[in-house]
Amino acid sequence: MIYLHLFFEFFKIGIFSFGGGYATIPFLYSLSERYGWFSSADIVNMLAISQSTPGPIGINMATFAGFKTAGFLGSTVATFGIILPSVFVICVFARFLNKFQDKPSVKITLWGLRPAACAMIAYAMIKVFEVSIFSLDKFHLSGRLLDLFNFHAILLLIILVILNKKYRLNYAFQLIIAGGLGVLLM
Amino acid sequence: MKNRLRDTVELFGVFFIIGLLNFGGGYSVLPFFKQEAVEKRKWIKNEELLDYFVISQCLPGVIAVNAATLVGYRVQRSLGAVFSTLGIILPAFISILLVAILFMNFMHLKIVHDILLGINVAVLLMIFEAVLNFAKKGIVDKASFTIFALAFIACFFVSPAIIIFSAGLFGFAVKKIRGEVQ
Repeated sequence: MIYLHLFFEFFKIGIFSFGGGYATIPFLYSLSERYGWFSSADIVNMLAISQSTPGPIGINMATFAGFKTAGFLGSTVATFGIILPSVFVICVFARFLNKFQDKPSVKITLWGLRPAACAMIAYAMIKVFEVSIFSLDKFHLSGRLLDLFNFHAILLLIILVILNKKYRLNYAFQLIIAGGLGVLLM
Repeated sequence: MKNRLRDTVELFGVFFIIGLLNFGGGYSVLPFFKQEAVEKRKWIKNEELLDYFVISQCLPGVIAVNAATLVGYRVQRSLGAVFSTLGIILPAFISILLVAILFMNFMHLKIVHDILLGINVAVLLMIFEAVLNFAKKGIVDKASFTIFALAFIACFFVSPAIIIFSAGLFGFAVKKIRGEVQ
């Protein structure tokens, strides 16, 4: 039964992948080695596609791998497999959290965690910075300092900042404008 | 009963849209949560949102989905949790199927690349706002700034789980030394 098999493998990934989408990648490599459901080249393609389609990478990977292996039903089964453990864990955990949120020890722990979370968001920002404002590939090829920056992207950033200051745009609207400007400017 | 149904539908709708707008996952989804769940609908407070993301990171699974499940649980218990989760994964599910079935060949076109680059720049701006916003809530004194700085450097070298764990311990130790813990 390929569907049951898919479900259990992604269920396992759902249980053991802490820390988001990228944590699933090593698991996918091991799946590809053990079952040959998809190749390692497929995994790289999946990553590229995941980054340019809506949704968290972990879910994207499960859907794509499931589809590749066993069609529509396969993708459904794999996606449910990967989210089910966390939904269950969170429903149990949330009850506990809501009850103890105001306990001093929980408050103190969260006090220490908040700045760490800020740091992680800042780190995520640096990552997005790397792929948008810098053009590292081009720089590595030519070695010229001018090629390090993507000036079109910087111009786009400036325009967005100005628009934002003036009109206070809704996020969805900002994304649409940014996509359009991307086509116009690049 | 009617309220419960309305809330559940609203949760599903809000997270469906967040799922649709989110490219890349992880913390990049945070600004959208802030806009919808904190500012517009007042389901949770700003610092609670930050807590939820930290907790999501420590629990198994995908961060953005975990955070949606937590918010959903907060608003309408298990029912809310399930529908928020479905809402945030459905756009991902549909779009990947479409890509897999139809659009594989379009991904290499220049126009697709340009649109995505534009979107990345906008996301950059949003995350920047989120960092500023949360820094105000999370970085309140020298000790918390130290945690921030150390954690930021650590992000480049070690796994997030280790950072979260050490930050929790460190925070606890600081409060203990200051005598704020019994």
